[in-house]
Amino acid sequence: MVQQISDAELEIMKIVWGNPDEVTLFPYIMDGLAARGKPCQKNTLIVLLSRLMNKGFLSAKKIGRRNEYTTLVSETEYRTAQTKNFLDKIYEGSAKGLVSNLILGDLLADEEYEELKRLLEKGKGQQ
Amino acid sequence: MSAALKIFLSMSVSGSLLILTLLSGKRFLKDKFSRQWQYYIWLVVVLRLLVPFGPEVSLMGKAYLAVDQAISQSAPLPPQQQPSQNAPGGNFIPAVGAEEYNEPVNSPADDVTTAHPLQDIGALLINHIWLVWLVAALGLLIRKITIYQGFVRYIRAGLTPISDMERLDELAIVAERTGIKKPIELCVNPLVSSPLLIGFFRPCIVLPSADIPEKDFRYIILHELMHYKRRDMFYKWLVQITVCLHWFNPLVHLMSREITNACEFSCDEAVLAKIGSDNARDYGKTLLDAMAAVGRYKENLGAVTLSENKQLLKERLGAIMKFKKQSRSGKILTAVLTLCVVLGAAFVGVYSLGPVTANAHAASLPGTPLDTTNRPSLSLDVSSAAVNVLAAADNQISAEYNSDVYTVRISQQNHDWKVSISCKTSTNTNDETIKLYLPNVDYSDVKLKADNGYLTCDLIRSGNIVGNFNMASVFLILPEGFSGSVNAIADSGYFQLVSQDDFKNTTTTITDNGDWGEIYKPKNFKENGDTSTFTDGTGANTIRVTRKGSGVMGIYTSQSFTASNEFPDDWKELWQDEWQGKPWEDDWWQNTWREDDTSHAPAASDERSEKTSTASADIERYYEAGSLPLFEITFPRLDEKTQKKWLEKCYAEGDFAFFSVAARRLDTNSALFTGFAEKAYVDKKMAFFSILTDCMDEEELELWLDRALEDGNWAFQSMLFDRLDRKDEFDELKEKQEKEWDEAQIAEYEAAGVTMVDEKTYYYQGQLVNIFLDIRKEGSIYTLNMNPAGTVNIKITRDANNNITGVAYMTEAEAAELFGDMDDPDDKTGVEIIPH
Repeated sequence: MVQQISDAELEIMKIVWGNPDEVTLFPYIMDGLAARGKPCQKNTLIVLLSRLMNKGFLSAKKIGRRNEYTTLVSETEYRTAQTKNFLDKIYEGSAKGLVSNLILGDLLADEEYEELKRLLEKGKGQQ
Repeated sequence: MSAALKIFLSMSVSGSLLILTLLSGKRFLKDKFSRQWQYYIWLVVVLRLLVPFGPEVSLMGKAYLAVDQAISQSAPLPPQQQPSQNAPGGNFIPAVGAEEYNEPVNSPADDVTTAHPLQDIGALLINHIWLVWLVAALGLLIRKITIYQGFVRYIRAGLTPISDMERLDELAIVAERTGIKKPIELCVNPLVSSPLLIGFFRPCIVLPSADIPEKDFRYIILHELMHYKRRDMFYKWLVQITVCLHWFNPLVHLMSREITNACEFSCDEAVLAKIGSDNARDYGKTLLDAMAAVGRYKENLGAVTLSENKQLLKERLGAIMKFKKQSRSGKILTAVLTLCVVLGAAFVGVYSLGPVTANAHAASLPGTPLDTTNRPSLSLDVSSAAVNVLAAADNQISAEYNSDVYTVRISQQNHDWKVSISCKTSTNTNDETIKLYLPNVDYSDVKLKADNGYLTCDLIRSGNIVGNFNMASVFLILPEGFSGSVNAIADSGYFQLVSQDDFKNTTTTITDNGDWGEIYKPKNFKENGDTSTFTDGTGANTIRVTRKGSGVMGIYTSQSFTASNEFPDDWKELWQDEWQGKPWEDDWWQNTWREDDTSHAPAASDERSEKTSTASADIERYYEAGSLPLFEITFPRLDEKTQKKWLEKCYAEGDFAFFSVAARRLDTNSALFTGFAEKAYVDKKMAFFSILTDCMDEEELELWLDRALEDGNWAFQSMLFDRLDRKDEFDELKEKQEKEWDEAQIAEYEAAGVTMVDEKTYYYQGQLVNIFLDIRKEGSIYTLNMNPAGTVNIKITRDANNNITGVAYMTEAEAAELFGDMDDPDDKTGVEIIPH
């Protein structure tokens, strides 16, 4: 199961996900955080990275004195899990409830609605 | 009590002394010294309590010595059983790392007076008290660890990591400034009452809430980081281990509390040193706020909390406000005091460590009392030591001995008991007898071995005894009703076997394969060549003794030792008095007596004369009894006058055997010896002189040879050359001398009118001689020659100076007498007879 992560941790994950390379190095994350306007202390980042590793988002391979971080959870997986979590929490697992709520709240354009409906049909057909 | 426990107790006691010193000094030190010092100085005490090493001379060592003495002296021992030299000042036997079976223990007769069941329980407790201690210590430690684990689990369960980057950065910055490289976790757990730090290797600061003011947060993490940096958790656990091990010592518990407090004080001090005393008030306020909710969980074990309790908090606040940097003089004072405490800790020391020289002390088998339900086997090996086997008061094996001189090893495996006693030094001037206490039980196999020593044993009432004795004096007494067997071989030395029930129900065989010496045995033994046998009753118990080498053996019944040789009764005292304690040197019996000779000391002359008077009575009996060995042994104890009397007596009576054993005991430089040598020489008593030459050295022999050569003493020359291993020289000399002599002889006869053509042909006045006889005075040499072709019988007459006075014809009667005396009339060759 994909665990919940804090905002700070998500920031780091976003940087790692955004890295086109297979592995991410510590300075890359440091720079990424600074670029996003959220600079932090080295030890803070180490603590956060170790939390992410504990939660199963990252794995680290120690090469010499540097750690090479690789993601264990992809952005899509994370988003799916988050959405599911969100659905579970708010709509008790019912996507229908979400969609009706979106319609009711006028948050969904007609085309979007049609597209969603098609997706749903397709999903049903697959089952 | 095991030595390890003794050491541990001494550590506890010496630690306690230090604790008391520090606690009493605390009120004076409190404000004078830095809190850091007050905290870390306890480390010295903790180390004293944990580390079992100390300098050789220590207070504890002395204290224990005194205690041990008190114990051994208060024990109801007969005075001679007490260790003979327990003078203070010495140390004890090395205990830790020393042979397990060589542990110092209290006198084995410690609890002789206590009733038996009580004694057993007491002994059991004493012997297993270390187990009680160990179990309690382990139990306590395990309990503490599980409590801590439970606590950590409790904290971790409700842990939420703080994801606030600012807070994390703040922590990272403070940690860096404090000098901590390791990243520190920061978490919140609403269940903890005050901020704390957990984890040894992955440290984590746990706050009750994340919602605290910036300033408080900084102080709190600074405080906790300081704990981490100073490794307070390790210190705390070291103290906890100490408390577990010294669980019986209330002072150690007190110390633990004191250290916990000092820990917070010194941590506050370290924090203040960092933030500056200006911020002391703020810091105090933070502390006070952190106290707001306290006591939801007992966190004071293992984890480092910010606030312990209110009383302490009050004190801490006071200390915080009074904080000031230490002055230079204060620092010097601190250094001096530290040195004092460390030296104190070292001096207080622990019991009995380092290379030590013990005097009299006892050794015993650890883990006694022994199991005696089955018949144990016993092996006793004595080498160059005097050992007296006694019955132990309880089922213990122990020995009282001087550890400077002897090594005693006692070991036990199943029902195999082994005792080996040997002398550490090559020459032994110690005349004490080691007391060996053995359980008075039925044994299976008993191996007794004595080499160059002394051993008495009357303890074995049942068992198969195998004895191997070499150059030792051994007294083996079989108690009444002895069952089992004896197979003893005594090679040289002395062996005495006494059966207190007169060899009842035994088949006893005595075999004599020895050289010099003899066996004294009861009259009712049947002799058959080298063996004597005796059978009584069932004959079930086989006793076999064999004598080898040169020595004396005595086999006796309970009464009077009625020996076939009318052996005196007091031989036992003789052997014991003289041999006990000095039996270990090579040729010990000789040395023993030689030593007596040299000790013609001026002191104790009364005693000596008394001694010699009994000796002169003894020797009379030994002479009458014809006992050469005992005569020989007693002879040196006589005074010179009596010695001379006996030598003269032997000389006069031609008693070569007694003369020879007596002469062996004489100093070759003594007037007595040289006197008798002179006498034998002058008297031409070759046999006696020969005995004396046995004792002479080469130099002396050569002096005598010179004299013999000068005197032309032919026979003595021959003997002396022989003694000097110069037989060839003598033969050469003999040839030459004989030639000279023959020439002289021919000349001498010629002068008297007798012509000697060759040895067999003599002419007198132109006639061939039939019988020729020449007898010299005192009969040393006479020449008799017969030639059947001869017609005249002549004899040479000589005066007192051996000069020829004339030649005379022999009468018929004289010739007949001469032939009548001859055993072999057919032997017609010339003979030259040298009487012996």
